[in-house]
Amino acid sequence: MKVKSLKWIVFALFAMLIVACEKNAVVNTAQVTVVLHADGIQEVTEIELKAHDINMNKDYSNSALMITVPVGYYDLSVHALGDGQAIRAYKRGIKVEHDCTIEMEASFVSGDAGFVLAEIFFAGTETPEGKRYIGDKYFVLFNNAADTLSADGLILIEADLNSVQKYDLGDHDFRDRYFAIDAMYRIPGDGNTYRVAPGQMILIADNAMDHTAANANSFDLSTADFEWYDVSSSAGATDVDNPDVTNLDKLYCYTQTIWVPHNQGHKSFGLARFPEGLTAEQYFATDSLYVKYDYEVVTSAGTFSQSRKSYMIPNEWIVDMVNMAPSETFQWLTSSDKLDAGYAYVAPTGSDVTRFGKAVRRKTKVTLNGVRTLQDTNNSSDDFEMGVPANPFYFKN
Amino acid sequence: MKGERLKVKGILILFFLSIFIFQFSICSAARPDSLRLDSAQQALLDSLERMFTIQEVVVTAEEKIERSSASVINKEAMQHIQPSSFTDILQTLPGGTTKDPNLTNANTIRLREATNGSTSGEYDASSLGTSFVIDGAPVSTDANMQYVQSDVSGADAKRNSVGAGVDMRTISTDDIEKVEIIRGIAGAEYGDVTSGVVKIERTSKPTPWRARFKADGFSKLLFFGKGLGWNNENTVLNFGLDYLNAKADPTNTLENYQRITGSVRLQQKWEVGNLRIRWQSHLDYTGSIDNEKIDPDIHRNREDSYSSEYHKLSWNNTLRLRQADAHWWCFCVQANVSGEMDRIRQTRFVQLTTPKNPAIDNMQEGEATVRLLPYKYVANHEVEGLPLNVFVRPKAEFFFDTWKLEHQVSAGVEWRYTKNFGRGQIYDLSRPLNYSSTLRPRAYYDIPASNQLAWYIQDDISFPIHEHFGLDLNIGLRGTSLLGLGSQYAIDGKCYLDPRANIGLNFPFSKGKFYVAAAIGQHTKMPTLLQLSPNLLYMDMQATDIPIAPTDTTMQIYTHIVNPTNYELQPARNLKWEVRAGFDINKHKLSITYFEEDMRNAFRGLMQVEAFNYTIADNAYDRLLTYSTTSNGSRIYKQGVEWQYQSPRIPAICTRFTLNGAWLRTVYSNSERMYSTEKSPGVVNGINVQDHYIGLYNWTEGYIRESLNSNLVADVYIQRIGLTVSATLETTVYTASKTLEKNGRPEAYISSKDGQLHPYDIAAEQDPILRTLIFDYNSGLFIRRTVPFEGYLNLRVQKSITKYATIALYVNRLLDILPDYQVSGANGSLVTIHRTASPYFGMEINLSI
Repeated sequence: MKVKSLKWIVFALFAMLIVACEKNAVVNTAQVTVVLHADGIQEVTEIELKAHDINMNKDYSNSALMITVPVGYYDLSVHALGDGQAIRAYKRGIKVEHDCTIEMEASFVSGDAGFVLAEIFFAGTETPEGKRYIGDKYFVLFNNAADTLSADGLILIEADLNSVQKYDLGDHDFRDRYFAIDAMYRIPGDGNTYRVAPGQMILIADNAMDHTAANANSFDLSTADFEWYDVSSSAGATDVDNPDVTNLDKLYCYTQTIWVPHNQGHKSFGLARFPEGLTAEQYFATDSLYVKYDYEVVTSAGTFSQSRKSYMIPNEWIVDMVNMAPSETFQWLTSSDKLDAGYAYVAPTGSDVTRFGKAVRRKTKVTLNGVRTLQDTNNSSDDFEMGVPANPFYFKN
Repeated sequence: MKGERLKVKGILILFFLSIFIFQFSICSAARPDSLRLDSAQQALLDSLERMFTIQEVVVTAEEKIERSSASVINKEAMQHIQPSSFTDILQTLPGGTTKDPNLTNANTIRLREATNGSTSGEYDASSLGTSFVIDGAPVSTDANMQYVQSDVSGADAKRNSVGAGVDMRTISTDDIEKVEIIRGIAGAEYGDVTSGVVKIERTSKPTPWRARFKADGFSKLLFFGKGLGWNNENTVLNFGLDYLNAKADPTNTLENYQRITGSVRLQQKWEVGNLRIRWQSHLDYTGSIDNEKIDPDIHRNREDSYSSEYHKLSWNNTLRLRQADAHWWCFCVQANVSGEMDRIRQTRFVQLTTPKNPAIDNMQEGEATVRLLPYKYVANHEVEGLPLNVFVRPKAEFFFDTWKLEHQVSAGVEWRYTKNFGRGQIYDLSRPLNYSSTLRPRAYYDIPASNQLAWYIQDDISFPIHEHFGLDLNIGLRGTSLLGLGSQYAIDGKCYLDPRANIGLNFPFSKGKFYVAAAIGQHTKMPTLLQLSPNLLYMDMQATDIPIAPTDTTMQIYTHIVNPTNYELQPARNLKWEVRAGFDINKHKLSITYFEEDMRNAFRGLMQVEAFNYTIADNAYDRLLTYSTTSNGSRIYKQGVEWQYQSPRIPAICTRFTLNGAWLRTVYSNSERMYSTEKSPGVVNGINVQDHYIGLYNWTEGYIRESLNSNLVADVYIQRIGLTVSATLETTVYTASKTLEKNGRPEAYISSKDGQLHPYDIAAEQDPILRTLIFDYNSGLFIRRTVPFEGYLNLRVQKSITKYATIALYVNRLLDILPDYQVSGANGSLVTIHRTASPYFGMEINLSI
């Protein structure tokens, strides 16, 4: 009994101390005014201004372009309707010391709104014997629009730049205009072949087959909608082609063997569409989309200048972008932050062995009449659940 | 951590300082005593005697005062170094730096090369072309094929020395009496060499029982040996046994290296009439085992293991006849037979990482049915090599004068036979270590033997022109041929001539001499068995899809066989020249050498491209096949300055100073145009680019390495208390490296359609596919990067405890001087580089009874 009462006394003292502290603490606040630049937009309505305190991990929001927050470091985001269409603006790492005005540029959210990447499984699985298995990677695409859409011509793309190795691109920084790719696989069809109803998913697998025979920890992907098939130059490393499942058109890949999406999650993935009428031949013949750029790699041993050439996808062609980077080793966004202001991950580091069997999955915003609408604020840090057990059919109705 | 390290260092410094002070006090106190006790004359005699005896002990490498640059390392120096293997001795060469023993990797030799940064296998000709000559017989590694062919990155990769010469780990040092490392131009009697000659002479005299036990953080070494003499020492028998056990990491007993060497050496001398006959017969065994296993307590991959065994038995006989009463001629026959039993065993638990894969086991050209691999299996791989090397050399020497010239003419003929009788790569093709590899096994006994016939003649001429001026000249010519290869080989039966000349001018005077010397010589190394007869290559293409149904376990492949033998292969040839100057005055010895070496046709694997058309199920295909052949496409250009100064032992402080060092610059590059897919994309617009178009680049690919080293050794030898202490201040003033500028625009490209080379013109530049053959390199890649000063203090101490025992200890990097330096950072900023080093200890006890 005595002990218990002592506990209470200590607790009370602490509580008093805390209250006293609270009372004494003077929190300086500042007012942040946002000036939104939105080319060609007449009217901006339904404003939601969000300020994320980076150090305290606290969010503040307001429905006007003005917000009062404690001094600190903030990520600012604006979501609004510009002439009735969703627009957004984003700015990272702003130091708020006193009242200030921040200029932000707004852009339309997802020009080709509708399809999103709903689940990405890039890490592969581990066999019961503890060996790596990489043949079961998959992507889940999801129709997030209110209408039935055609998936024909959607292109699955992987970043050429690595999220954990920052390049100092200097004046060559193209990210506001282009996304550099190292793989590009397209859903075939004449424009009306593969139609997807709202709330329906498409499963794209590396190998559309039952993997559980080879690895009990894997899945049966034999019912996948598409697979990517790589004709290998050597019979020693062959890809498996399921004749019952449609292959994606292989437009481009950095390797001449089998494309294995980056298994440590260092590379962003996206969906894109060529503009109406542009053929692959024309794309590959376009000089302005095969870009040489110089950059500097900063390492502990100094700075190394490099040159690189990448095929580029203009940002306007991008339907959805999900930046990927392990949470602790993230260095930079390899796409424009207007496409994706954050990044998704399954593990703190790329080589983390707990990453096997884990995926990133888009959060469900609302389910109405059994039809999901997924969260798509173009900020993967917010939009995704990180490191969930992979389930290729999670979004299956 | 750092604090602890400093503490350890501090204690050590105090310990050694106290030893120094203690010994100095003894040393200085001893002097007046002797003066008081003896008469002045006796004292003079004593100190002369002491001076004389302490001069004799040399614990550093000595520069040979001859026409060509060579370092001589005697037994005392070797004992002072406290080596685990021959590798440790190289630190005494000019430009040499102390390296901790690394006995779980192959140790190959790099003479006169700036060794900052690693070099790739494309420049192995440098170590391959360094000849190790043990008691007159060269060690051949030409039949060494001990590598796991399908596992280029596994446990074997760091241990195999195929095509890279002698693995110095296998040479124990305890029976060695003297080592001479000829860095410059070797005499014409040394052949099959491009870079240098390591001459090892082993003890052949009566010795007491000797025992040595050495231990350091990573290894233990045990040696026993004795030399017996009978019949007025006309019969001498030496034997020694040495055991070494080293680990990659002291806490891991599963990755280790063990070596046993045993040696029995007999020398018999007779005098028959007017003939003096000496017969030496040496029987040597070297066995070593590399092991790497997975801890069986760890659940995963417990089947995985690697072991590489090496057993070599060598029998070396030398018979020498010369006149007993005069010295006109000398005749000598040397015959050496050595056989090896080498075996690598590797086991690995393999599980498919992708759903299905065929087991590639077709050995015929054309279409074939192959089975699919199981999802998991245990792969066993064995490599059996049984090399046999025979070396026979009769030689004669004649001594005569013509006019005022003293001649020493020697001539000889030698035959080297090399063959491997092993069964080679032995494994079940349907259960391979690496299932994506399409290599096939072959038996090594099918590879034809190599027969090398060589002759040489050389004349050593001394011309004492004047009392203060003499001339020494050595001219020699050596011819080497490979015989019996078959007329398809360009090299077959051709005689490659190596003219070599050394000239030296002496200016002797009462206290010593000055000298200047110059030398030039051509050196030739013949290709190894594997370079002459590489394995056939199998190009396998998928003919049908992999079946999906679990019951269906076969598929069709199409195999094309390529013979990658380069019949035009030439020997690697190195042209070396050097100029030297120095003096030897009152036991002050100085020598400075400038050298250049240019090997323009060193061996390298070079990509070959050929167009191939084939038909599967009535569909015609064309594609490019790429594979590697051994070519003469590497260039190794070495230049540098080497210096060594050695003082006499200064009696007052019982100390000798040795200052040696080198500025070395080495350029490694290609010497032929080359195909490259270095930056080629994989698939563009559905077209596999590398299967259809490959660029031919007329570029210089390679790098430059440069270093400036200087070592100052102060060694104290106090005979009366049996103490030898040496402190080495080892400094690297700077090292630099630079990648050679590369022009990434192809000169031409080959197309799979016609297999022809097409000029790379403006039209090609604008073609959506062909434009990807232009590789871009940033000029910033080719910046010369330097690393500034680094310095270390190393300490070695030897102390006789009694008449019978000596203890010894060494510390590498007892102190380090590693100033921070800055390199360019992003946007013109500077990044500070902080360097650290940790000390390395070893100690040993020597017994001599």
